Amino acid sequence: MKKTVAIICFVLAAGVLGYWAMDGQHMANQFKTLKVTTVEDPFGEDEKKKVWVEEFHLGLMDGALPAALGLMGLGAAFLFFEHRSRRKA
Amino acid sequence: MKRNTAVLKWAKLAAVVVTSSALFAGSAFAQLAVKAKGVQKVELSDAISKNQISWLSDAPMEKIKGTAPNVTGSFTMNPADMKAVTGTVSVPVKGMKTGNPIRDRHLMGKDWLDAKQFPNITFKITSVTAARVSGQKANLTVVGAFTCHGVTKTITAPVEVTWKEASAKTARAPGDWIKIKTSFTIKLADYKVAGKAGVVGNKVGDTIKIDGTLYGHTVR
Repeated sequence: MKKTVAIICFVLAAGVLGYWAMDGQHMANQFKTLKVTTVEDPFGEDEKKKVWVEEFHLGLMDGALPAALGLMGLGAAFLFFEHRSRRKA
Repeated sequence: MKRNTAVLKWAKLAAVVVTSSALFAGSAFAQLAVKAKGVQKVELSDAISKNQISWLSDAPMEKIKGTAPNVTGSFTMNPADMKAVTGTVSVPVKGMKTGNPIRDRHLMGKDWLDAKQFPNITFKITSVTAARVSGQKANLTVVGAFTCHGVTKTITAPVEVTWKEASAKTARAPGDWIKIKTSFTIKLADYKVAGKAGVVGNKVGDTIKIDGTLYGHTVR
């Protein structure tokens, strides 16, 4: 049982890092994203308007890495307890 | 021999024509095709469209996009001589956004832009070295004093000025409308913005690309 939980923790940690890699590989959490749209300005010219929109992207330093390390630590702890209970038995 | 002398004469004539054309293009022809006469005072206004400065830090480890709202500024422009443009643009450091409130706070802090001690980033035009005018649009090469983090450096920036004459469609802001567009790069080290050790050059770019699209109107 403990071994299964440990494996789940390691898989989740890999999943978090994989999600971060697929989500733009931001170093810090990005709570808003700058969206660029081309609009016609009052001069009748195309203008790039940049607007912040609520869109979360996971950051490595303050999101993915602490979560992955936490999960890996938990997994390691479960493996340790599993190992200890086997030795006791 | 005679033929050579004739060719030399024509070459000299061509050189004179090219030189004078270039001189005219740089001065007398720097005139916008608008009705306004004399020196016009122009003030930036969000009533026309939102004045926006955006910037990009493109470092090996991270690309950070930012914006700076609440841009203020005023200019003097003479449509008959766009080489005589003067003016100042000011951007408050406090309103800058990067999409992460913690990073925004760091940006305002002492290690970076130090918003408390240096609340504004300014650009003051000192001269216009080249002006290419076509109809109601002028492409200028502007030299100015860029002040950031308390350090002032002379920089050169390309600036596109578009003039729109007052009409029924421009009623929401007074006078003629002016659009000013620019894009240039600054080096953080030039302005003594060092950040935390090892960050500049890795997570934050050595240079910052600044883009601005500003709208203003003439003041009578």
